[in-house]
Amino acid sequence: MWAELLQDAWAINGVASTNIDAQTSNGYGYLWANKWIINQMPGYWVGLSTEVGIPADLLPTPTNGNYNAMTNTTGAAGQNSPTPSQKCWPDHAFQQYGSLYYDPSYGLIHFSPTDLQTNCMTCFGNYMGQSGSQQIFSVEQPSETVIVFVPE
Amino acid sequence: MKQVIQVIVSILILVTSSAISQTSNNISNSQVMKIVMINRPTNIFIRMLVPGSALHQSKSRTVEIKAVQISYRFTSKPNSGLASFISTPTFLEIHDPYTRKICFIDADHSFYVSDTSGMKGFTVGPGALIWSYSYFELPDSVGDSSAISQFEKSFDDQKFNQEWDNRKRNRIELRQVVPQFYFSDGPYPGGGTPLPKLETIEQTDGILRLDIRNPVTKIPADFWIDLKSKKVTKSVVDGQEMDLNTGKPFAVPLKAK
Repeated sequence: MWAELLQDAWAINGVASTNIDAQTSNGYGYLWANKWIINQMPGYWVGLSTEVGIPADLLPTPTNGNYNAMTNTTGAAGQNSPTPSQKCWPDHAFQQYGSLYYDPSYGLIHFSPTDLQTNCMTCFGNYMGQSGSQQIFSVEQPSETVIVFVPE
Repeated sequence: MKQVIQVIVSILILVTSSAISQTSNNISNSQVMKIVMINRPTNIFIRMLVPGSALHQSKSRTVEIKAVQISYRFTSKPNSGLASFISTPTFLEIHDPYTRKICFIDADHSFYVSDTSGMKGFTVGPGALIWSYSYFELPDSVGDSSAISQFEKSFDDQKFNQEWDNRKRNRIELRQVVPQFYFSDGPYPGGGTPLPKLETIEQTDGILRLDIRNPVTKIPADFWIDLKSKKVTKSVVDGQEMDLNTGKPFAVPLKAK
């Protein structure tokens, strides 16, 4: 949404850009954006379940923001919030102009998939299921670059 | 002389009590945590798949059967693994009418499959099919309360951790065999990923056919899955067969190749 808004704003001014979707590969389905305090890695990220989606905006917040493998902490400001409440995504979108990638969600510039992974992501993982009222994801920090940029 | 003996005795007591304390800690760290039921078992209905076989001319069937759902807590907080963070591990006691066994397995799966290898629970998650096996099985002739009691005696936090660790391998990725954003709540990045709605399940000769629908976009998807090789052999999304070899994290329609 923010990426398309930036694209439209540039287009009004005669600047053509490419919409990029940063996706996970190598069997990882989700990415966790900065910042988290790591308690155990690899491990399990355990959130409280809601019917809305998976994961549902990190809400409701567990005690002390502790999601087992990681504890939530102040991250990059963005989306008109000091720390956006959603920090786990299946993918992430921004604009490419020339060789740079402009990220309107966080006001950042990325240089490559490796740069995005190294500087903006804490870990990657997969949905594992549910136990009672808790959603469970496996999480780890892969040594290889697992983010791919897919032009739309 | 008396004072020297008193000092030696004091030192011996200190050393001994320290050793006892250390031993006690070691035992505590390796102790397994049992489970305690936290409320009365409740009856629910589950969807169970009975596989078919071309050789035996038996058709795959899906039946609704009654199961007993039981919620527990661990006697003390486990020291490690997922169990240390799960507040109410919940299980099903299933009377399998085909194998004549009572099975105890994780609750919350989308459907259950009974075959000669035992009971398995399958979850159709956003982007993956995940399964787990029953923790404990015993003959159907055993009464309910005795079966639950035997399950509780046999179960601990380490078994729980092991079965959940196994889910990292007991899975087949579906995200790679559907178009980009299929599992999202809309055709754009950064959306939520709701649990897919399960419509039809069939299994014949080890091939699981799974028909699902995105609950938000209402788009259907049908998969043919070889459970032995853990591979999706065919995928049809919204009526279009998918190219499964794009080299990307998602598939595209075969016609668009």
